[in-house]
Amino acid sequence: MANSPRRLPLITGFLLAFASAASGQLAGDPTPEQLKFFETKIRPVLIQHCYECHSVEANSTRGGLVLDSRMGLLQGGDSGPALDEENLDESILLLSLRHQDGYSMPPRGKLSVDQIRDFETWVNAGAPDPRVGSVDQIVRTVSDEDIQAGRGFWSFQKPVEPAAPQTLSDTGWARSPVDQFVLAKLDASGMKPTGDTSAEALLRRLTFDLTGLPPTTHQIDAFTAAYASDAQGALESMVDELLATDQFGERWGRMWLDVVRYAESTGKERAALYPHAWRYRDYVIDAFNSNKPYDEFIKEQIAGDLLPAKTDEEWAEHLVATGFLAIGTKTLAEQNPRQFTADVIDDQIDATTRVFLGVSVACARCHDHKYEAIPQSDYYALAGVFGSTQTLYGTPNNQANRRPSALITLPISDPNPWEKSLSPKDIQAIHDDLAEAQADLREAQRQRRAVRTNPDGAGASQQQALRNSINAANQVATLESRLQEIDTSGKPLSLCMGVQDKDQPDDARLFIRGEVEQPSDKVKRGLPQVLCDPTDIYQSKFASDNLRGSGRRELAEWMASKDNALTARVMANRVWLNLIGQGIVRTPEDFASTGAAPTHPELLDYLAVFFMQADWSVKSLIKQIATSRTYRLASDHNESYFQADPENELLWRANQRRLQAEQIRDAMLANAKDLALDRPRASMVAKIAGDLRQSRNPNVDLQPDYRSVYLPVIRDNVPHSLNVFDFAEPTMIIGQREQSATPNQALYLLNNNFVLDQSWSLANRLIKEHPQGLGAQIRQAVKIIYGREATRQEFQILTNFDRNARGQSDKEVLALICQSLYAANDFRYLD
Amino acid sequence: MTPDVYIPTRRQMLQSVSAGFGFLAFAGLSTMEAAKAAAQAAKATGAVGPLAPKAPHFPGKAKRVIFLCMRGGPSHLDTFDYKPELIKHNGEQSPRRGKLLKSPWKFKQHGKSGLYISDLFPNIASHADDLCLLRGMHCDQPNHPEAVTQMHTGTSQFVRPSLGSWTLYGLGTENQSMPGFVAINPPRGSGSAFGSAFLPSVYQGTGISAGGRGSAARSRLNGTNAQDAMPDIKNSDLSKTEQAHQLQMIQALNRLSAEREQNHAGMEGVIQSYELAFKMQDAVPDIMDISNESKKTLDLYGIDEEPTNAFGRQCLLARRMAEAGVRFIEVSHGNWDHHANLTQALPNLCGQTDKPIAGLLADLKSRGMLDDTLVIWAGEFGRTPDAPNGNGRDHNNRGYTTWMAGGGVKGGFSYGSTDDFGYEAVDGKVHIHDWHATILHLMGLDHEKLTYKYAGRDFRLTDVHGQVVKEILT
Repeated sequence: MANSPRRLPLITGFLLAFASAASGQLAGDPTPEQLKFFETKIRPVLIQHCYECHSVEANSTRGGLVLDSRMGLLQGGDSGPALDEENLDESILLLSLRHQDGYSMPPRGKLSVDQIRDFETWVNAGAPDPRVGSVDQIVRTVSDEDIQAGRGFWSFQKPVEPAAPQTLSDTGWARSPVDQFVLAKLDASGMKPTGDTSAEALLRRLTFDLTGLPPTTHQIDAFTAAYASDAQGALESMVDELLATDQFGERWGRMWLDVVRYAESTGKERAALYPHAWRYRDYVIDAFNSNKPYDEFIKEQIAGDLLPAKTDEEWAEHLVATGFLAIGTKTLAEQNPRQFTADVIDDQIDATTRVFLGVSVACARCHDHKYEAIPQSDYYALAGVFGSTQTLYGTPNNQANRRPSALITLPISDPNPWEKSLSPKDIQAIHDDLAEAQADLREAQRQRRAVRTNPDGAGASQQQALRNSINAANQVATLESRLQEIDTSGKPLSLCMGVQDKDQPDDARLFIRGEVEQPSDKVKRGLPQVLCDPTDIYQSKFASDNLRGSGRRELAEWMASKDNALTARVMANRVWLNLIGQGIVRTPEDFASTGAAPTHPELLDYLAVFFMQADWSVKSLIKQIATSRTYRLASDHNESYFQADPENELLWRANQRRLQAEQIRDAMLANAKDLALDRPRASMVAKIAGDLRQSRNPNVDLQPDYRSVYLPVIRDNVPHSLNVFDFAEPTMIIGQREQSATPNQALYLLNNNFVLDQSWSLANRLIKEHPQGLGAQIRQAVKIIYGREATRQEFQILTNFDRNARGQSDKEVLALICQSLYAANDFRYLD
Repeated sequence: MTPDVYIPTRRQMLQSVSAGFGFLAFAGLSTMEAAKAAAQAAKATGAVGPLAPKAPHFPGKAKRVIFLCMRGGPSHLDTFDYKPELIKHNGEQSPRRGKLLKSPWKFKQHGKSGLYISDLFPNIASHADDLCLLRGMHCDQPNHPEAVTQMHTGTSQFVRPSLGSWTLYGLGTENQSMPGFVAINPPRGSGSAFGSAFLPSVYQGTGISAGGRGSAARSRLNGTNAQDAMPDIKNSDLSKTEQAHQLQMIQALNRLSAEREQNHAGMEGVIQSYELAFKMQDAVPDIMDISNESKKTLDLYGIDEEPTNAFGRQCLLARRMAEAGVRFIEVSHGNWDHHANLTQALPNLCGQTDKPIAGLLADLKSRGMLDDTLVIWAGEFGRTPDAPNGNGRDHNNRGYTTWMAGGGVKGGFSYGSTDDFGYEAVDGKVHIHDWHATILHLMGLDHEKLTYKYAGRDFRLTDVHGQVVKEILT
């Protein structure tokens, strides 16, 4: 095994070839005779027979081909360039007109012999074409001076470790520099931090924040006892304990999956599943659990395929990490391959820049950025990087899918668990079926043509012919994909989504107004100038001679570098946000001028520098915040402070936070002792993807007993139990979830069978564990669900319910009480 | 249920709930009455919360929308866009491809206005003087899924909030017992058409399945199986009284925490959400239950007769929701994609929808609701004048017809036109962005001012486009 990047065989490619527009034997500007020939013999025929389906003007690009510009002919479509510069007479344009080699255009009947001869004459003369037109000029509104000035923006300046304030009103309160920064701000406003919260509330906060699970009653008892004698010591050891659990990665991994728009399907109108996306999900969870340094985490996700690996396992891990670039939404129905590619690249630019840098470069796709000093050319400098990359996301190659892709074959054996090995006999059977299906397909297509060209054809038979040919094509696709998923010996391949460098990386052309049919000049690959000046070593790596591959590795190294002003700040802010409830920058994916200014700029820089000095250890950063005095604040109301600072920007108290969807569901399972903590193998999506019929309308409201992070995430079809509580919309980058209170949530908690079942299950547990009677059971229910002892008032409300119950058994009453506790505010909110 | 010292009294409940009305207050009223009372109470007390009625930017003629969404691309050339030249040139080679196909159906002038409408819609034609035809529509997308998405959100390229979500965000809703944006019979996987995207989730459309054909669908519509119509709408174990009892306990617990945490919007929101949910459990099945509608009304919509029964029920349901104060109601009808078999399939679909839609217009009118209810009929695009398959038409996004009625648009009015054959909008062109701007305008919303800040910039339904079609306003 060489300790170097390696390239992998891809499973059979239906990958598109792109032509470069270099001039070979092609004609230059047409002579007057050529012009006349074109205008009289060629253009009218193109207009009459071709433009309807192949022109920008008609907004139709069947097969991705446009014929109303010379660029269109050269770029070609799904079958390749329409003109073959090496062998003009064999150009696909001519083959199609001659109905040769399986091509046949126009679809409604061959042109006349004379017309075809005119085209042959024209093409063989180098296709002299007056329609070249002038390339639109790139409109620049961002000047070099703007860029220079833009570099002065606070978040684009490297963070410097600030000195923690020493002169504070209360010398005993602060436990760490975090607290010193917070207290200094409060002092300046004449406020005091509210007191510490109770030990129980603190523990509930901690376990939900660090593991996503409620504290057990045992933990409550042990922690409150320890906290009474040594609060700080108890807090620190509890944090260590929780950080060491596997549940930590499941909670924080899910946070990351929100940010990276993780899903197991393409979304959009013609959705297809991603049956291999779960590998990326598990990679993320493992990365948090193993405390993978954040800089490595970044590099692996952007350029894992290009990093050295010591073992096949490490190599596989790196490849899976690049799934980050492949899991975005895809418009599989897109006719125009250039549009599709441009949209994939746009998703990658948007995700990469907003997730890691908190800056939206994708805003500059169509014109110079309106607010930042990001010219449109900077967007295309990155587009060249991702355009030199192949994105491999799979999806079945069938009639509904115009844009399938290959997948990456992993160097280890770890196939999706539902895929079976095939015997040589099975394989032969598939080959036989395939041959038969292909014959059926040919016949169906022949019939379809026959019916279509018959002007009196009855509608019913036309539709039948169409249906037959779709069914046959889908059958062929299904069988082909089964063969693609096994190796020659019949063993299922281990596949993942991800990216690979293209063989011939190239700079991208800028698209005027972002329109793919309006290409302008090429833009040299590079980094956004306002974030990285030309003298910077990372920028200079993009200088032509040094750049070997796509530039993704160079991009990744810059993003993961301590020299990058944004990276550490953005992640530190995210960690803070998930522990404190509000970011220091309250727009976690927008650190640029349209975003919010930091409420505590020095604290943010302190945390960013701390994070980098801790070798990018996320666990260290979490511990630094979770063991602060600030984290221990109570959420008590104070009217005058509230009037002065209603948003609690100064942190005079803790922000009350609503539990997230997974926390609600997992807590119900855990409280009833029904939660399986083992990681389920793969994903339900991997299982249903094998079944074409079922994969169209999969039932995702399954009720397995494992943690919610492992439930299927299908775009537009998120499980109800998650969706109802503001699950992160998986088509978008979500740094902070909503905390809505909707009637659908109320209906869910009042009536949903999962909630009723879990309440019954908890009632059973309580009756078994506390046979002494309803009073003790109620007290225990409150302790389990609220994480604290019941107050006198609560206890009375609950026992009153029992007293007034009519004709219901004790168990029913207890189950209703448990359900009501789940339904009430105190379960839903972290105090 | 004896009040206990620790359970807030009804009076306390009424005072403490910021919306100013408690579910107990309406225990004796029917849901419809309660809804109206609640709406009045909300207005009177200045109800808060994201769904409370909000003042429009300026007084709008329409208070609510019923959007009849005809998926598949109904042919304008055979329904609302009369093309004498196409008749003249029938069978000739088309300038594009294939042969021109005249409409197999006759067009006649109707009403005082003399609008041309084809014989496929005799009942709708009888309302010609209420219709405002937009004959110069166009959109950017020639494919169904993308065009449907663009029709709802303005773009198919990005995930954006739906027209209904924007409306609800702008205006709130009048009935606090019902969701403000309801999609009747949303097709599967059409989430993006009803989604709120970056707008708060409270503005997303709530789907209510009102079935297609068959007895299961009918029983759903009759409210006997509301659980299928809306998830979690009914408790499988408890009677209404038992659940009211339980809810009292839940709200008592909620009051305790809300008193402890003053000025906590979230906790107040939870209390309100239980009130609405509890009311929805009655309101939704109540609205779905059409058993108290008169025979005359049912007949008007073609209910209990074929082929109009299924869609008739959906239209009636839409009227009942409009009446109850739901802000935006969308009804879907599919399969208008007639590439082939035009002469059989198109009359079938028109037959299913003609009487129900005419019934809806008549019913709204007789109740005095048409003036402030905007009824919209639209597919995602129209069809080509040529017939590549002999008896069918292809997609045409460059020129087609939609119509509106009521709510501030001129009746008996036709705006815009396509070329002689109906290929392309040439005059009075209305792009989908203009259409959106106009709908918002009719609701009293300025499409340029109805913005939401997301990812660092202000977004709007019409992006940087859209012009109100002033010519069609009353």
